[in-house]
Amino acid sequence: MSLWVDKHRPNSLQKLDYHKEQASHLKKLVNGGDFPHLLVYGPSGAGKKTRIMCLLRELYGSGVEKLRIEQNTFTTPSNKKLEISTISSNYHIEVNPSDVGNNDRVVIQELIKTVAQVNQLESASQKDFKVVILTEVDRLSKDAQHALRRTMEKYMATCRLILCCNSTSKVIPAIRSRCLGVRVAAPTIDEIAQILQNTCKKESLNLPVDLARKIAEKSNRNLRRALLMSEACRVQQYPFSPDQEVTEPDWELYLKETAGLIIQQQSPKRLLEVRARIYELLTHCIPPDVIIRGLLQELITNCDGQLKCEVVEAAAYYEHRLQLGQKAIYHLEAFIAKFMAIYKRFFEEGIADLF
Amino acid sequence: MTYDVLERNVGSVVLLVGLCEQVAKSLKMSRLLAVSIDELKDQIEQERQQKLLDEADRITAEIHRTLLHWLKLWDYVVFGKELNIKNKDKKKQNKDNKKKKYQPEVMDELDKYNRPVQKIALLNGPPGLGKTTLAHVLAEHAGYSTVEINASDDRSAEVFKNKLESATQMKAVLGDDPRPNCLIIDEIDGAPLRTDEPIGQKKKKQQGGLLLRPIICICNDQYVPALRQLRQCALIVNFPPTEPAKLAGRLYEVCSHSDEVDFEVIRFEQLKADMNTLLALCEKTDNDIRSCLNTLQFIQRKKKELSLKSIQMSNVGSKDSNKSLFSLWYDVFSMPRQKSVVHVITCRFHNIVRSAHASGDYEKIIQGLCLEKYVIPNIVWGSTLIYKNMNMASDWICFTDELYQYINHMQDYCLMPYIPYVVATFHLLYASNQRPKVQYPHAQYEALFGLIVFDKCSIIYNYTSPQTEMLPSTRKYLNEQCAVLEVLPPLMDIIQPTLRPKSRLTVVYKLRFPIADQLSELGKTWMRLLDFLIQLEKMRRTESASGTIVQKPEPSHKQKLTAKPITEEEKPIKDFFGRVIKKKTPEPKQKKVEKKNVLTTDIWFHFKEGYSNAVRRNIHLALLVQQDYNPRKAETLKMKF
Repeated sequence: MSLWVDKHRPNSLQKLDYHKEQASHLKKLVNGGDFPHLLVYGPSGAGKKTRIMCLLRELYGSGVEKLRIEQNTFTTPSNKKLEISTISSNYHIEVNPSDVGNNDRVVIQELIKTVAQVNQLESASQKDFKVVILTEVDRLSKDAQHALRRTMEKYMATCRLILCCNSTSKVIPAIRSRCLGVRVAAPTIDEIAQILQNTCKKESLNLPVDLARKIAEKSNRNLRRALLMSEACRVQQYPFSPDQEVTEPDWELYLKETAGLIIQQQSPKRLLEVRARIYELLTHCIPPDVIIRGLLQELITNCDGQLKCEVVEAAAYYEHRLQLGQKAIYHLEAFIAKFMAIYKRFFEEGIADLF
Repeated sequence: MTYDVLERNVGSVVLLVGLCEQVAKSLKMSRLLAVSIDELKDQIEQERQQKLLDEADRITAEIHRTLLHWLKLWDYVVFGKELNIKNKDKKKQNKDNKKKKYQPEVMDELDKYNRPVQKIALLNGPPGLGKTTLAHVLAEHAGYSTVEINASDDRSAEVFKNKLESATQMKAVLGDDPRPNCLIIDEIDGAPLRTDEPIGQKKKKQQGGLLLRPIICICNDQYVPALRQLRQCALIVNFPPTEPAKLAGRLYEVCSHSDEVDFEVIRFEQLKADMNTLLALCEKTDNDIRSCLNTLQFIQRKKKELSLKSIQMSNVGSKDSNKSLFSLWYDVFSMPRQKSVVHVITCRFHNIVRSAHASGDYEKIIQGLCLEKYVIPNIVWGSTLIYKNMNMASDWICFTDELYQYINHMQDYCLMPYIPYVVATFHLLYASNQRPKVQYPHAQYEALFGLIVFDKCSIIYNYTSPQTEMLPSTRKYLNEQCAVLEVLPPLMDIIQPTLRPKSRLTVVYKLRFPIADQLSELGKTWMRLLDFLIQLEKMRRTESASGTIVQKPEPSHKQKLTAKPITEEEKPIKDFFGRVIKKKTPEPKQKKVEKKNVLTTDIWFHFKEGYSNAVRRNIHLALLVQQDYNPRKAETLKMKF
């Protein structure tokens, strides 16, 4: 049994449900038999990897779907052993270098070299290059990105890189300029709703339009999330009812509650409670920038017009420092403290104006 | 050498004096080893010893008494003297009167070899209170010749063992010193960990070689791991830090008229000083007697007057001491007393920065600060001030964090000295007069630990681990972050359907992420739920059978067309005349409970109950409880009753 997300994933460019024009562009690109390095970017759940795989299939045929997981070991200059797992077929290899944290530079250098230095045996029937897919490029360290720069050009003959990331803002310009950028935008709510209904049809279920829309709206235009949510709904209750409750991810609810606590009361004691909750979230691997964004979104709905600007500014400031620092908790806390200060001051001024 | 130069470079001078001291000590040692080196004995050293002794006498009289008492207990073994039993009584009275505070009680009993039960005395206290001096003086006083091992000696296990044996079991024969030895192991906590073994062995050796001489150990920190075993069999004598007023008073005495003490070279009599200044001095040196005297000596050489300013300005005396984390946190959050010198804001600032610098473990310090800042400010300030402070503090912490990251990343350690300033900021923002309750910051560690645990047993771990069970095609589209944020929460709902309607209100919301254990646990919960449902169904059926509940009509899609059973209506049988013949329905045979005839079966047995006085007898519980119960006795007892 597999999840709907995996089961109904389109596997060729023709079968894609949205961004069809882009799909045809990609097809044309590949039909020439060659393509430049690609930088595929877009929000999570928009179908970046799906498109990459469709592209590869278009290029190499169905052989790319025979995947295997391999363990690769690399040794750093300081003699530390790094283990990283790669997913590969005969034609491509996919790796997420940020799995090894700070040592990603070594992985990139070694891996690409080994892949690129091997020529394909039968160049007549096969393409003479392999494809290396690097995921989460935006989480690569600067060193690794710099290391990537030269390798990309050097091994152009034998390998193509497809980089995959959420945002190009953390990719250095040198790399951006070496790649053809492909933006995969998130599907619109209508598209998601349509896809959900199609999927349900394939599962021979009957999904009401209202519910499909409701799920699509709650999914933040994230198709993966939408599909998972609808599957969860299916498990909860079938036949569907249009006003069925759609469960949100628990961490989001938790975050919302936390924001509620902050709004409710501003005091050092409350800050201490909130701190414990933030720790809880961090312990469950929720990334700090997601936390700060989620908090901001919730907090800002409770703010007056003038305040909004100030709060967002503070959030941006602390989010930036968060990226520069080590311990997320300090920065999150600082933001919350700042918000409390702003909020409290606003209220006190409001009361003063009354008298 | 002029003293101007000296003062400019006081640090090295202090070092020099320390060196002198060490030299003098080792020289003294060699004297004890019966080599006559009286000429070499440094007079300054002697004088200092004398002074210190003086201090020790006055200030630490209690400790003095305790230790001497313990030493005297050895008299029986070493000198063969009878113990003074009166002493014991007096001691008891003493104890009753005072209800002593810190000092341990000397156990007066002797063991089977007539040694005191506590075989070793462990003197413990901050530096410069005269521990070494006290030990020497007392040992001499009690009639021992002292053998000292300190950090300047080689203290490898082998040497240590030899020395221990020679000191405790032998006696100087050659010299004119017939007194038995008393071993003083100085600076025992500084001993390298390997000497842990010999110290541990000491106990064993006591059984083998039998320790017959007193050993006095001296340390600054009694909780060093090397001393753990030793502590159990030792008399631990704590030197409490001296009260500054007391010490200052004493110093004042020394300064103003030192005639009564026999100083040969240096006299303090000309030095003019007032109590306040001396108090400041005490505070600065952390009540270290040695350091105080040293400082005084230097100042006296230069000028005739001791002013508050000269104390504050000079960097003499402030020690490079390492404060514990807790005391540092305490210092940060408490305001120094009004009277003390360090009340001035610049002084406070420098003090805090210095001690933060000295303690080194910045990360811990900052964590502690971070926790503390929420606990303190509550009533006193207006809310705006609270937030102003809080924001400032958190900004500072963020800045420090950033700095840290930069230092670690670039390995650029020249920025390191700027880190402790955050501590000073906290002090200036949050120091208050109420006593802070400092707690150890656990949260960070717990969070980290939790993260590791979570990492280890979750699906995410499965994702990253080499022995992944995930299909490559599944795994391909999943990364850690999206697994946590998007896939796992609904996945729990998908694989764990709700079997009964839960009321949203009562369900306590909790973060639940599928952890591997939980997944295997899932099966069990399922079973339980199913079981519950089955029970429910059963109950429903029995109820419906009894007719109280109308069975619900089947849902339409499940309804099947079934042929109506044609039942032949049983028409009453009539006879020819139309009369109803009453059919004799045979009465349903009542099931006869077959009484098995025992005798017909092949095997049978019969339990013969009987009553016999020969076997039965009344026994009271009390008798059973009696350990040596025996029936005969019981019988007799019963007879008696």
